[in-house]
Amino acid sequence: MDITRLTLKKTMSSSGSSTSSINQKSHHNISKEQPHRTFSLMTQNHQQHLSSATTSTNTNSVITTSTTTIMNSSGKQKKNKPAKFGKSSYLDDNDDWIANVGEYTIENEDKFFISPSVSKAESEFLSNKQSFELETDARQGDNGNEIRDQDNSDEDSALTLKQKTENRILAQYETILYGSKNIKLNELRDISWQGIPLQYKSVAWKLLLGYLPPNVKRHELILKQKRQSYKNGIEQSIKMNKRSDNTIENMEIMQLNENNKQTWHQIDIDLKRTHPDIPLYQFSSVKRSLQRILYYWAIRRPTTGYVQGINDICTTFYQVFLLDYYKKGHKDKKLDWDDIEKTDPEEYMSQEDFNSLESDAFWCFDRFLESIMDNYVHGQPGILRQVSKLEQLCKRIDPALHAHFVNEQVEFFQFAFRWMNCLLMREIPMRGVLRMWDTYLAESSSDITSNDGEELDFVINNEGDSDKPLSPSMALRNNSILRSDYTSKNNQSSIITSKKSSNTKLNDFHVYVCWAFLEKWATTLENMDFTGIIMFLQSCPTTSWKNLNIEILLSEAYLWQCHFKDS
Amino acid sequence: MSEENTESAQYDYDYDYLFKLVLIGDSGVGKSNLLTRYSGNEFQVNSKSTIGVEFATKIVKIDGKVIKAQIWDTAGQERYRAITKAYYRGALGALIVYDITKTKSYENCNDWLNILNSNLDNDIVIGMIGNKKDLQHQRAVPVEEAQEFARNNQLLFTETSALSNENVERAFDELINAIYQNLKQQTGMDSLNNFANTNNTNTEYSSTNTVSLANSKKKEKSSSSSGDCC
Repeated sequence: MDITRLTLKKTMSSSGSSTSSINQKSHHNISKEQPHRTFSLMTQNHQQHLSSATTSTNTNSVITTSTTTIMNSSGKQKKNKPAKFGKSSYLDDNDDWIANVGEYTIENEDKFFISPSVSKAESEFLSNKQSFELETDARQGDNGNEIRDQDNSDEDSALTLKQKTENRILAQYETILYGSKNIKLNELRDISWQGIPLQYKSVAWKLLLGYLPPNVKRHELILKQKRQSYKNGIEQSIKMNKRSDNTIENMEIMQLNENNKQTWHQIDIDLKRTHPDIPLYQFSSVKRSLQRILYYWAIRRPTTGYVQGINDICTTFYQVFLLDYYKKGHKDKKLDWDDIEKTDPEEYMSQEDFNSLESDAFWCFDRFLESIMDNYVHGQPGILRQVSKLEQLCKRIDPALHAHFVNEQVEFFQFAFRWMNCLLMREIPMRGVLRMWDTYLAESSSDITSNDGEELDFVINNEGDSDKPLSPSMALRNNSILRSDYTSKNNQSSIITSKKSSNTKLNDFHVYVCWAFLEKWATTLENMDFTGIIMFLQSCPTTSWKNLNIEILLSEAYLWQCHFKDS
Repeated sequence: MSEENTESAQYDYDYDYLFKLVLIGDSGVGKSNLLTRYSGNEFQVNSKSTIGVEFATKIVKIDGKVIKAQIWDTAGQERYRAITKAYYRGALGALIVYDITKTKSYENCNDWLNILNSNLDNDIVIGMIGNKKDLQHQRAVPVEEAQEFARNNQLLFTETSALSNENVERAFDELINAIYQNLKQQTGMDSLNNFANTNNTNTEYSSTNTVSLANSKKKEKSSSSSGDCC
């Protein structure tokens, strides 16, 4: 599988299948970096677009193609799903995750899905499936039996295939995350690209971000150090008043200067309007947590400081890491965003838990943002670059749309600035974002972390933290080192020396996602004038988007990227 | 302002003039809510912080002319000033918004005024809005003081509440009217007192959808304090 083979087959309902494959002329070896990643749906329309774009740009690159065979049974299975099957407790937040597996069944050589060699741990897992289910989730027992009964009958083979695929994926997560002492990050990246089931999400994100090292033995120690370090930092910067009613009003900043006061105030007013549609973010316990994370981050990162929009970004880490604590406090319940988003974490979390959660979210948030820092430094050059790249893509792939924009005097900057600044978080519902970020973190993970077994990146002075700095080999490997040393002597307690490459992979991929997103509305936009276009793109109709929509978007983006990456 | 009339646009190109306006001011003073109130008569409890710029339009009628106001709502945080400044270009009017319960946001109006003046080649019509008038019990900025500031700087002035829908339409309409009157004065097409049918002047304007005050050297003075309402 060194050379990726990707045949996209779209099966129309149950009868005959129309197969179409895209052949391109490219030798850039997709599979080496990202061997088994995508199950994609391509419409006829896209294929036309792609092929015409390829010919028109006349690239000599792209030939080897293709990879995954996809069957789309047009959503029928989902509808026919027996009620008793319900939601599998160990699966993602809603039916979509299941639906995807059912609707897009990968039926071929792709090792990821149909692995000819099942690893030892994996086979152990499969043979102990029932006990695993009972362990992880009590509710699973009954469902599991039902599913196995179905396995034995041939009545609903599609359903069992779906279930088998789910089980296989879960088994793979078990193997990757808990099957060895040294986690293979490459494997985790590959599998995460396709969406991480809720119960593995938190730990997978931490690994993908390099917050947890691949060496499992070190996890406990690292977490302990980081959490202590965060706690110390907070104690030095924010004071809780005696009356501990946990409101933001009850917290005070320590180093009172105009700048810090301004930052504190800005974060405060922004948190009042962060995810106003999700109850979780209205709880003062959550607001207080986010206030502390964001404020502490801002004073430690003086070159960027707090920038409106990063509050949105921070919430993704917070919400995903909350899963761990919710799980602990609700052992008899399945993991479900609905419940998590409605419950005040204070009901199931101790102060210590809050500190741990905040710390993990803080460090991961910091790692993530550090890699896209030039999106947020003064002048926001990273964003300008991405917007311009998006425009170039549009011009090449859909010249008619571009011409229409030019004609209507629509500038890409006018609508795409926010897409870049908030990574489409303002455009897509939160749950979709949380799914999307599985892929984003998988995509950018190799930028953020080094090779397996190698850990890098923070040098934190004055706080007893002992992570290794960027290794010279790593530095050499990265062409563009974005070096930012903050060595203000007046600010001893908050010095971070960071040396890392800018996260080109994430920014690069994100532009393609934005293109795929824009392209969705192309036909509509072409019939609109300036006002219509801007108003439409300011509030794209995505409120009903489910994970399936996100996955199609990501797959499309991936294909666009494969075609246009080096051309 | 009895000559004014507002209604929603039936056709996008169905207007005589296009006026570009910008909304500026500190973060959290209510710029976006003023705009949603004015353009759609809504108050969004669930509004989020503005990232970069956002946009809305409103059709206003003066003298039987249809004016389309294209209003750009900008992010208030200082970090975004470099970005949002780009949107001042071509603006005929600006509204500087502060929060009557936040002294700081009022004090910063002077900075905003300077930013406007240093980023625009031409004089434009500027209004100042003290928003959140409904929060009287938390008032920190006296009306008289703000009026005085507005008068000294030749700004229109209104206190508004986007929440209770008080004076919002008035503040925007006054600005638009001032631009319109200013334009008439400069071009010498019509006197201020002539609100009669302007059919005979149509041709000159209707050749272009966008009206520019490119040659204006004159600041709007005639209605500088007419908007005082408090």
